[in-house]
Amino acid sequence: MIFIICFLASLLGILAGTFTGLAPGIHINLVSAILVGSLSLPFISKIPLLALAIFIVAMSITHTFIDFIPSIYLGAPDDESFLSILPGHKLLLQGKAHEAFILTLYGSIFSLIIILIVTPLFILFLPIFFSLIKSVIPFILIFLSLYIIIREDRSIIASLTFILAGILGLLTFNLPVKEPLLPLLSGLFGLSNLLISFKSKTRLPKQIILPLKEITLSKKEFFKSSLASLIFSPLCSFLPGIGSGHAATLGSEFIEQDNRGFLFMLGAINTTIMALSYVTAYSINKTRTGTSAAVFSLLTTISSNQLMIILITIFFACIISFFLGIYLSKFFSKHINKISYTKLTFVVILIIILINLIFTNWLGILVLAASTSLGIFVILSGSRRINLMASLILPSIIYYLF
Amino acid sequence: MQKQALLPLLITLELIFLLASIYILPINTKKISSPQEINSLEPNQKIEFEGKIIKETKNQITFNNSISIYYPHNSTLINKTYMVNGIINTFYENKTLIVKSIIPI
Repeated sequence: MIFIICFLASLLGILAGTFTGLAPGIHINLVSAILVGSLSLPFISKIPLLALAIFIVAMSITHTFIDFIPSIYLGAPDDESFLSILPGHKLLLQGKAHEAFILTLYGSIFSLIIILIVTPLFILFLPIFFSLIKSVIPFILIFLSLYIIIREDRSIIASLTFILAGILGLLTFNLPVKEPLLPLLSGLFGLSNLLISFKSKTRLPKQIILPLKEITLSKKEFFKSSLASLIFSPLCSFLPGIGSGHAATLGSEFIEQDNRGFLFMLGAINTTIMALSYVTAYSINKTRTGTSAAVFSLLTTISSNQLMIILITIFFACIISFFLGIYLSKFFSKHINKISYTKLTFVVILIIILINLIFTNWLGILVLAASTSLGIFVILSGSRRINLMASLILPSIIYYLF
Repeated sequence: MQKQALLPLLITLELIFLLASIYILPINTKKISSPQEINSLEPNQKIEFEGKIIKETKNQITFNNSISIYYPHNSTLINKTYMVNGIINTFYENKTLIVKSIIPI
């Protein structure tokens, strides 16, 4: 009986993850918090806690697969997939949005191999190496910051962008901004891009739906993206204040990749970090994502049997989400041309503003305005948008050093 | 750099300056009157309240509005009225109050 309940919970979790992935602004942390907060309700209290935990795990993993759809097709960011907007939008304008999304799916499914390799290492060695790596990470981030600026041809504009984004990030995280990541990232990477597209009256070409066997990476690109994911996603999955954005920046700066390899790496990083957050909760009793905190609060502690069930759920959700993602991407590719891109952009701009008005406060709206204008400045000045990652990197450096 | 990039740069600078002012200056400070209000505020929110001390231990004082704060002291503070400035912090998902200043009035 418990097996059937858990199986149903994982299917429902996949369904919920598809919804949260497709709907910009509806975050898995919000659904998890509502679920944990509803435990006293008669209907919810009858469900075994393990089934609720499985629901959250399946939802979170599916979310990491599907949340690239609004990022790539609409340019509406999410706090895990926001970096995919940059290469994703380029490929969308070339009629290759399906290919871009499938590359993130390949990355996400590849994460299963990373999870298989890293999970035993995390269980055995993470309690020993946690504090050592924690003390090294700010210096890696300082080195990364300098490297990002020096690499750029126009280093004065790059430095200016980096400093402004860093200050904006620091202010956002030190002011009473409700849901600080939402206005910060939707302005820097979403709204700014959409406003430029809206102004330039971009026309969307017909989207090409290539068969899966034709969407491939070269061996060299696959090796570089896999290596970057394998090194940086486990490193960024157990440290506080470090997430998929940091991992992607580290991965793309230290192991150079083209747009397609970058999308593959983003998919792998997102799913790996989400999956390993549950292993981290088991290994060192520390939660690093909202959903792992919810699972931890439901189960109190995670036993080895429960971890095994969580890992099986992750694998199950990965496989279902992969095929679900292909279906949804084909659907979007077929229908996105039927709508005028300018009108679609306008609607997405309104949705992002509306989501911010609902979920954040007046300070968040100020942050949204500042981050949008900074994002526009970066696009118009021709600086690399990776400099905007200072908004997350600088606060992390300060957090670790002081 | 394109000339049209200057306008968003100026707007960004102005907005960052505005946000920095809100952070540095004693504005956007909320007056609170009960411990329950602490839980409803966002982390990093500046707060202030005043009250008479009705209970004390060596490291903690409790005001007549039921707000308790960590405040190590030597001599007795009972029946004295103070103005407290602080900031909301989160500690393992619980809201706590970090005291910045405590001034007798």
